[in-house]
Amino acid sequence: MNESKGALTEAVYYILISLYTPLHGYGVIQNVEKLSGGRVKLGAGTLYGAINTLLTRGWIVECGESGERKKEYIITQSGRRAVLDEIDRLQELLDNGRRVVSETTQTQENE
Amino acid sequence: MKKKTNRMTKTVICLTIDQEEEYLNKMCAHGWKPVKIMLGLWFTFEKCEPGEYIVRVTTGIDPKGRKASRERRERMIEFLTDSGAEIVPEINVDAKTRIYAVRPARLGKFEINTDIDALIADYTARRRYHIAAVIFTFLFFVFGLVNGICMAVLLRTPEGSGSVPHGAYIEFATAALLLVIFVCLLVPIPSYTRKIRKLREKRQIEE
Repeated sequence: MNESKGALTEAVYYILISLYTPLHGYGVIQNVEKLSGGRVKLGAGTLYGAINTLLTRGWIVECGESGERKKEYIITQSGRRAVLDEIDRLQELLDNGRRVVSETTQTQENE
Repeated sequence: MKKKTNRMTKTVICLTIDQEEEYLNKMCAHGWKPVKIMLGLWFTFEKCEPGEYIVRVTTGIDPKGRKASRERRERMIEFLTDSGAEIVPEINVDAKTRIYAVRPARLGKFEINTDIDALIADYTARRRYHIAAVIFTFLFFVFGLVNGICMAVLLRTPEGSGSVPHGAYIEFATAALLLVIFVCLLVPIPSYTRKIRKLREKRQIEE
């Protein structure tokens, strides 16, 4: 899918990796905060927009209700592909960034 | 002796969601928490500790200007209540275009939209809401004005004083009121446009 080749936003990326196990909305908010060490705090509006988009794209699906009758969501196969593509993209960013920075630093030290 | 009450109702006209949110937060800062909203004009408050709550008003409409489906609206409400907010009941002809959320300040900062995309979506929805309201108000204004002119011209008494019928004055007064509302609804649109443009520029370099 062409859509999966674009960069994911931080919120979407964290939501997708949170949904490798079924979670309800607030569970996603808590998990994202935990995964990011408290740095990323999703607001209800941000989660709402992302969940709607991901459902429309078919990257996540509703998978029943939790004990408190809250809708739970889980990542789909196409969602997993999007995550893997994003990991590759991030890896490329890291590799290129590290390579260029270390090469430049070495050149400057040699001079 | 007049009994001291813990509740009060105020009539307030807020033409933008931003104004409404600002007003409700000001009331909370003074120790009044909103508990009921009727027709977007009458706000009932209950006594609370000053600054005990934070209010956020969000749109129940999507960025394309369409009213969110019941399912989507329920999803938004679920996310808000799960994060510790209460939804203020609203009695309105069409109470599906805004969601009023109140959350205790002790739970920390209360932001509904925490990323640029969600902010853009929210401002876009607000702007579209205003554009739709402006068009609607303008059409009613034109209708009232034309109606008033027709009444004044066609129903003018042919004999005697030739006075304009009272109905025409009522139509003109209504048209004048609609013109004021039209201008008030029009004013925030450029500011929303500027905010959206700035956020889009920001998104080009950061999330």
